[in-house]
Amino acid sequence: MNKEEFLKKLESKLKVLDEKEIKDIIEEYSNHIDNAIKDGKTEEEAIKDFGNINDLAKEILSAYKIRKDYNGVVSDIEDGINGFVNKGSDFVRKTIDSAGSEKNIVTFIFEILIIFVLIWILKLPFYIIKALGLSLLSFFSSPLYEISTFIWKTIVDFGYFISAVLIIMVAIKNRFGHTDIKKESKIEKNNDEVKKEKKTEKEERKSKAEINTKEKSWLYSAIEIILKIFVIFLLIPAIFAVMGLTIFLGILIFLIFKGIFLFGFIILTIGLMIIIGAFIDLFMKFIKGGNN
Amino acid sequence: MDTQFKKGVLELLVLSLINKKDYYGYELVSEVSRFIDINEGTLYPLLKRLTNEHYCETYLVESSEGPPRKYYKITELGEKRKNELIEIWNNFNKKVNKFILESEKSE
Repeated sequence: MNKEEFLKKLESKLKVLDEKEIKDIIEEYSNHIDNAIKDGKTEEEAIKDFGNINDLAKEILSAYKIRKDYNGVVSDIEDGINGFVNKGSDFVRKTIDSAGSEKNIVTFIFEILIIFVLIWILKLPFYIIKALGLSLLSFFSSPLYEISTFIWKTIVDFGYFISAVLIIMVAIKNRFGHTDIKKESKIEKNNDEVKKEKKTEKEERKSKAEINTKEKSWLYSAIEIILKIFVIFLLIPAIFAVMGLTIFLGILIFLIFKGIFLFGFIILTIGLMIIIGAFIDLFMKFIKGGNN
Repeated sequence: MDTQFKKGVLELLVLSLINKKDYYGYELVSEVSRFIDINEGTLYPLLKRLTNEHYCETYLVESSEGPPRKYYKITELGEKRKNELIEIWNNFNKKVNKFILESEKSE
């Protein structure tokens, strides 16, 4: 590698940083190489002194305490799904430990199951959104009503479709990691849930991530926007639900003082509040994470 | 071999050096290399981190022999940090030596 190649490569791995910072950093390395050459080293020797360029980029980025992947929202989903899939498949793997090479098949089946379950569960929020929109639109009279409801339904269905596709894409990415050979690796993803024992699997995932992020970043930002809007829509009913549940809980507690102890309802209410609260938390993180 | 140890004390070494005088990148690498063999790849990111954490600041000096050089200068915060690290190092050093001494004895 010559100096120009090295600096270009390094620059491409630091893209997530501020332009000024990148320029600064590259300049410094350039100066260092020049100085080394003045001292008698060759370009190659000077560059070899820096070690592995990917480790170098990782070290540089670690000085900024940033996320090392820049696909924000989508990688959050990926990480979440990956984590879940891996935990599940690890569990299954452990219970069927005697069946050596069948682990992969089990993981595969489990992944497909997960995809189906997720897509099925995904239907609910979109259904809620659709119903919300339709009831709002009922204020209009036909033919405006017909047209607007049609448009609304199409938008929501499209959103659902995109989300489903996204989930499948992520699952396929994850799948592909098990069969691909070692390729050039990217800056490591900072997620403990996804950590496996074999290093090659880690690198495989990195390599797919590199390919996908480079080619699909425009697609991802479009999907990001759609998903963010969708999540904000979700938040509204969720918050109202929690409020309603709180009021209900208050009534239940009041009844306790009156001597009526509805244990079952109390448990149910608290349980629901926790679940919805967890979802709200997830959504908030989702939205925040998308604002990188 | 002693890479783990080196990584730990590098910050201490760099801060101690720039405490004495301002250095530019390449100079710094050469100086530290006099005592400990390090990978240039570790040093520049460290300098970046130290700058971001305000333990040192940088300024450019025009050079007759090429592009402007970036000099690293220690800050007050950096001095405090340096002293802190030296203390930690000395304590750690003492404890480790003591431990080794005792475990060698009981053989």
